[in-house]
Amino acid sequence: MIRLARLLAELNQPGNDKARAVAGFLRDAPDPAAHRLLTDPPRRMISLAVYRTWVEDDTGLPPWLIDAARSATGDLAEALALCLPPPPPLARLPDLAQVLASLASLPPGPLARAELLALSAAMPPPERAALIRLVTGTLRLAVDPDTLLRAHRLAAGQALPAQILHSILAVMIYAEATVPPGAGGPELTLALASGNGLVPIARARTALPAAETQSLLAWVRAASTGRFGPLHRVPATQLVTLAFEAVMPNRRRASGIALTRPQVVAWHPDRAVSDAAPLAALTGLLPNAP
Amino acid sequence: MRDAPLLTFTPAGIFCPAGDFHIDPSAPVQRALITHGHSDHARRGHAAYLCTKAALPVIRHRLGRIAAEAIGYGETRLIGGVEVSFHPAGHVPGSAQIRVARAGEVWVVSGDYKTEDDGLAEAFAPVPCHAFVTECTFGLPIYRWEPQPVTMAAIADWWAGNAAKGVTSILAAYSFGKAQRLIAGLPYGPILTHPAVADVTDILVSQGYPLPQTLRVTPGMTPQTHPGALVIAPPNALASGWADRFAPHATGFASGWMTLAARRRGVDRGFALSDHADWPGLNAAIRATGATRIFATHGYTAPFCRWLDSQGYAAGVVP
Repeated sequence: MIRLARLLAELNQPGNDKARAVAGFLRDAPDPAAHRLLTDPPRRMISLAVYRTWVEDDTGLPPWLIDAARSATGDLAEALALCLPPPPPLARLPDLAQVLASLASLPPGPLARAELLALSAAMPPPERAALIRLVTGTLRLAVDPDTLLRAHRLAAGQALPAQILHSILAVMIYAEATVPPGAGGPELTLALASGNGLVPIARARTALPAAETQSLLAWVRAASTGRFGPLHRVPATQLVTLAFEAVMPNRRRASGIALTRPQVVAWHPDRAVSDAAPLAALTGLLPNAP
Repeated sequence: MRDAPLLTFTPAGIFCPAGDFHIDPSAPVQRALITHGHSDHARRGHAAYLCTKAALPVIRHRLGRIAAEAIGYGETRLIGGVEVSFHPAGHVPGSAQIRVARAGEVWVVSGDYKTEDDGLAEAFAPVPCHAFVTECTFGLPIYRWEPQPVTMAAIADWWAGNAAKGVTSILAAYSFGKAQRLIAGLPYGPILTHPAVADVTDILVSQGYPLPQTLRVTPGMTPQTHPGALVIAPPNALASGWADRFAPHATGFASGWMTLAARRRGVDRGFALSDHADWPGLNAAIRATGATRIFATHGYTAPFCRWLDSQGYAAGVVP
């Protein structure tokens, strides 16, 4: 939790290099569930309004006093974190991975009141505020895909591109089942929706942290529906974020376009494939596009 | 005059009609009783000043030539038939609560205070009274301090971590009170002080306060001449770039306001160390006076009064 609280503080510090802050988080927290926080908002377990009523009940503080606290902090999650009693001395702070695992095992929000309050009881206020934001769905990490890619490259010790990067949600249709030599993870074939089908638009290697790469490879091997050389065909159910520098026309391809320096920067196993961008999203980025 | 309240609230500040004196007035008056030497309490321009013996040297340093008398803690003096005495407030060395009594009615003006004994300032003790005028700088439940040793250990840890990386630690703290509390409470090591801090430290040392040796910053000092140092300077010195000579450096700020994430944004580290009472401290102090009438000043006065009301006190905001 310390790493998450620190990341939130660093992202809010004006003038900070966000990519560097995220790179630090990636290096310190090599856990796929933790990384997914950067790209997919966690499911809301309980609303902030209801969490607030729990704090009012537990502390005996009247609503108008919580309002005054919120005015002073400028933020309700922080005010609630500070109004709850301080953690016992020498309390062991749970790890982010443990916290995420605990949350995943809890029943729906209202039933988990005792567990959620107990989880926050051992945390000092900054970590407690991060937990409150996590469970109430108000965790705004605000990391755009460009920053995320730069952060991955920093974390991996790679040079950073100077270009502006574009990012879209695309569907994985083929994947390598092992990591080839050279920079980056396995190569995937990505497609976008066009008409009633999917049109391939790029082959790109992944830029994911090691643990997440292993999870992806395991999924590919288990889900494979056929092998074509090093490539496995996979069910078109997995959404990824594909970053690239530019779109150029290419009449030899079914899609009519080619992408410059494509890289897969995130995998979204929990998102619906219907969220994928249409091909028109790319053609709109072509030079001389209307 | 007999029917007038013992203390009243005027545009110039707290006024005792029977004794014809003010307490910490904000405009020039004939006779001013001063709780402590911070500039929002001890101001220029009064014809006569009265404060504790322990507070006077710093007040003279800040205000120059003034007509001032000093009184010991617990000593009583009659001013216009009103019994006046000064009692420890625990805020900064020499700070006092002022007790005013006449015809069996007792009022106490807290000045600024904190309830934790910091080992340097004369420790706060509640003074029984009917009416208590209290500050409420941190009068919301979000303000709860850790015991001083815990915060000092965190600061020491930050200092040591920086020193190990060849980074100078710059700690912002008010030059009277907080700076000396840090000097007294941190482990011994190379502590350099901005001249504003050094001036006050020298005065308190000459008065006999137990402070370890520190070094006044002079032009030649650099991280090379004083590796691994902690530099204590007032916040405005940091804003002006005065600390640039000590680069590479990390900045910390020791203040109760560091409780708030928004206030921590301007510094590398914030340490919630305050010379004002926190929420539990304020509530305990007020209860311990036995007073039924409470006047809140200097802080979150409206919500704090509403809270005191809900707890059964007759509470009002000092206008």
